[in-house]
Amino acid sequence: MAKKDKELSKDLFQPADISSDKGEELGRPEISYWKDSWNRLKKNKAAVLGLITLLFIGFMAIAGPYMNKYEFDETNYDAKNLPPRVPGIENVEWLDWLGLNGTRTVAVQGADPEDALQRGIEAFELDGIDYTHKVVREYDASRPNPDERWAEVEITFNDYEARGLEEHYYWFGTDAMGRDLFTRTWKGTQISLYIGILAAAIDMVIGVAYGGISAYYGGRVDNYMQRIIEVLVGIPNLVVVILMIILLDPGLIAITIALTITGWVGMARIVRGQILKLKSQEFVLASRTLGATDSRIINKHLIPNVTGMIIIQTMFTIPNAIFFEAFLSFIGLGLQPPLASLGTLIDDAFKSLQIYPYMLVFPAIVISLLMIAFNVLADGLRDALDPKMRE
Amino acid sequence: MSREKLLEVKNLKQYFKSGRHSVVKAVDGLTFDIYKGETFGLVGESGCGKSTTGRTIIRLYDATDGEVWFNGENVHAKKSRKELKKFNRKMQMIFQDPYASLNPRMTVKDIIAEGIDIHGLAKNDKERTERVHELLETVGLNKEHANRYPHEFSGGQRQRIGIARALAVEPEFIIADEPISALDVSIQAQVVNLLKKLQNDRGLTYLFIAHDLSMVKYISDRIGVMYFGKMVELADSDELYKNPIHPYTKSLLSAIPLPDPDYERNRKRVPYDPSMHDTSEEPEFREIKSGHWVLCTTKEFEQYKAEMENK
Repeated sequence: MAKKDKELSKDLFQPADISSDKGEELGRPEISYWKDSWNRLKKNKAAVLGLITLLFIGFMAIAGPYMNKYEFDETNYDAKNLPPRVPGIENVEWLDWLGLNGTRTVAVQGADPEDALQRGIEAFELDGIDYTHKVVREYDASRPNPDERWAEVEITFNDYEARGLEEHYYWFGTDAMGRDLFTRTWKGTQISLYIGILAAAIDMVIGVAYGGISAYYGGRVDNYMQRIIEVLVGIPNLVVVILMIILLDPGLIAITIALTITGWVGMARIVRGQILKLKSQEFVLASRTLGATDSRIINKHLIPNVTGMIIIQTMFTIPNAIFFEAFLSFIGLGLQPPLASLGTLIDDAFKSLQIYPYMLVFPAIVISLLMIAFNVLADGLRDALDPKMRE
Repeated sequence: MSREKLLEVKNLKQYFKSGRHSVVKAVDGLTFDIYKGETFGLVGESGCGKSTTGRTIIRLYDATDGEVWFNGENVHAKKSRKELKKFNRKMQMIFQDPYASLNPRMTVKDIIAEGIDIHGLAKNDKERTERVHELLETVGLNKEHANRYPHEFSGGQRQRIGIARALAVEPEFIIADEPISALDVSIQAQVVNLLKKLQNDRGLTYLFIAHDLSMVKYISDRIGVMYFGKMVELADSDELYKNPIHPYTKSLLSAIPLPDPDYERNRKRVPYDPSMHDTSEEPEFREIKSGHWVLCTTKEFEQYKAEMENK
């Protein structure tokens, strides 16, 4: 300590020549609220990444279905259950683990490894085709489980070659009906995004307006509007959808109407609560004493102060709507084939998960990215729109 | 009295429904005048209806009964949008909580310019900015503050912004609803002095609502004491402090602390017991001395008068 004192003698220090009121004069350039928010959003790396991911997925949802020669509803039973095969990557050896080269590994059992291999070659028509095999197990009569006594070999071969489909490239593979999964994944993304954005739009328009009017005008208006909401909430969603299906065919329109009827209730309640809290705040009273009209108070004072809440609620709504659609499709009330959404694709792939895992992987990756990106972006937006986060 | 009356409040009543059958009488038959250029202090304990009075006068609430006349016009009469706007320009309000009275999502410039925007007082953006800068300097802030947001300011600075907002429409009459009670003591004096200075420069009239008696005495010309929605005593501020008559006023004044240990050791607090009043008839507001009014019954009136002469 004493040594340090010597090193830092007093004459090394000089008073900084800044008077205390200078700080008050530090101005900042005049920028609009939105520009300011955008600047704050840009600084948030996660949010920017989320935004880019969403833009990419959005682009692919629009352009993806037209990127190869296959249609989303084009079936080819000769090409069913094919593994993914991507030109370029299929020849890169160290990327083989990705499984994008059209190869497939099957396990075959027989009396001994030789027999098993022979059975495999017959079953998969591997005559005159390159294949590799690996002996998993020799015949062993001492095993307690009779099924496990058989010898087993794993045969790896190019499924495209085996079926004589060398000129085909299904980038994400095909499903049980031989439809191209790449096209279907992006077509499904398109429909899932449509449902998510529709739900968000309903929330923003009906939910915010309904909650806002109910709280702002209060009294009897509020009372009646809330009773209507209670009636709507009292009817289970599923009943609404089933009733819709009596009138319409199951499909996108039925889902759309079902969402429109009740989807905005949560948002309306949240906005109502927020506006009730805000409308008696003194800054609103001050605006009224200045002679502001109702629309000015709502647009300039109330809505900007609930944007954070609105954004968060919307971001909850989007995944909920996407899952709601998947659920409806699962019980057979939603989208009807050949239309696909991410939900129905995952549902179909789930049935053969152990044999054809790639069918599940791609839509699952897309839906996960979608959810994470929405959440991260929502988080960033909430912070960006709040001037208190300004440095 | 030759002085010009700016505001006349006649038998003002403001009741709120609480629950299905019960009614809260926040303001119950208030009558007083405010003269042009003066500061009228309104004091009383928490919940006695001071703020409600202010808010009813400026039409934030619709009065249950009674009239408010401002410059010879009935404030609560039905008005066209144009008349309302004219009224809004003449009467303004400064709020109690500087943290709640500024919209956190607006810049200081937009907050102050709100009145200018609503009433179209600036022809273009440049003039608007100039007006805001002028107002900021009037209330003792820098024009560099215009682009900041409210959370970047201290309580006292925020209250100044609130004052600038009220001044933007050039009002004649300002209702200051406990403008200093949320500030710490060193800042209170600054804000009160600013209000006084603005009054001198611009000939403003104030209704100053507060519960800090020493501050009210400092700023007010006349003071009204409220108790449970009723005015119990009204007099010039010196007169009220020298000759308090109503027992509630006496009790209030006895509660003012002084930073003087000797005085404090001997200070006697006078408790107020509402049951001590004569209940033989409805009390009325009577003038006991020129300009000094008390709420009392006939019997009490005689008693107070005798008390006054004995002093």
